[in-house]
Amino acid sequence: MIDERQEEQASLYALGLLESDALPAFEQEMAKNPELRALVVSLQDTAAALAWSTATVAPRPDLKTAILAQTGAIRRTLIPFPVLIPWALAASVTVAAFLLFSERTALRQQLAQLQAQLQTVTLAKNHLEAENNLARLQIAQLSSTLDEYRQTTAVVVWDAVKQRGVLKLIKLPPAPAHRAYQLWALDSEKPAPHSGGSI
Amino acid sequence: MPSLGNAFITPHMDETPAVPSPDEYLIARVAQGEAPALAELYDRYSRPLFGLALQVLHDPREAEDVLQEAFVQVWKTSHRYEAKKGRLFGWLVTLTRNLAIDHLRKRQRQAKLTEAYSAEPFAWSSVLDQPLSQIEGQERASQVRRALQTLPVEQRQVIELAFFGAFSQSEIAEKLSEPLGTVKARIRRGLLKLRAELGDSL
Repeated sequence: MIDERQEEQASLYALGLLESDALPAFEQEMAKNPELRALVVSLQDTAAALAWSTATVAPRPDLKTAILAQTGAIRRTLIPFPVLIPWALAASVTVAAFLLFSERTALRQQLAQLQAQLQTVTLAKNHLEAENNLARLQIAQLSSTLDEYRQTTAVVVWDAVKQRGVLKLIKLPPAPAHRAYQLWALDSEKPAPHSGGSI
Repeated sequence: MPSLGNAFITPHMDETPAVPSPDEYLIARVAQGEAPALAELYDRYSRPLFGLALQVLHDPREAEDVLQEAFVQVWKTSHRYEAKKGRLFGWLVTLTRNLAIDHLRKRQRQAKLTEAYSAEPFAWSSVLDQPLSQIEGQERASQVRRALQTLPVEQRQVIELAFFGAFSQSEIAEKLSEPLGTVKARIRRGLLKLRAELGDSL
């Protein structure tokens, strides 16, 4: 249903009189309302028909020749565009699609290769880290110069970075009564000795 | 005489009737670079378009310049015409009217620059004031003029001032010393009545 306000705006629009501040809202309204759109089109046709009322005098006879001569001069550059534009667009889209598809396939292959390489590198890194961990361990076999401890052997595995180690004592005589063995780790990189507790 | 739609009107009614091309087909041929199609378009619509430019500019030479510019622009931009947005004749009228108004504004600016501009008293000259004898044999022109004549003068006046005078709503209101609302109402009633009078011939 079209009301008077819409009819008025449609009439002004058809005559090119609708003010610029009202124009966007009206065009939006028209886009949503097919009935209003149809009214506008019919009023535009009505307005255009006004031009016929002025068809009282013909332009000078040679004007047509002059126009055709002028358009003929620009014809050569003009013709290809309307004909070729749709084909050029279609061709461009096809080529672009093919290139994108090829590029996508290549990128997928490249991604798979990189993932395989990454996996190999990760494994190698883990292996090297493990080797490095082992490499930094210090292993020492200790023996005593004291007679009562000549049979005793101590094997120490020491991680200087973590300040942790394992001590294996073989044939260590029991400590005398009311005595205990106190273990100290002396690391040249550390200013203070590291207590290993007592046994 | 049967009513003729825009698409099937030719100024050469008295010549051997050829099968007329629909406007859309004609403009498509122009877009393909067919000069004969442009010539046919010229034969079909040059008179009302020239009349329109003349009514806006009141100068035959300038109106011919506008007509030439309009057809050159049609030749260059015919591929931009979209049938779904309106009829070809409406597109041609808009194009020609805009060019004519551009010429008018340019002329007014130049007149002001050279101080030749003078505020002449407002005078409205209706298209119907032009002699009818010159349009004998042109059914379409007669038909539109008859429809215009059925409008009350005040409605016809505001429509003509808007369409041919290129005045804004408020300029028309000022020139006629009428409230803006009255002008708008007259435009609405006048255009709707004109549409009803033209009926199927549109």
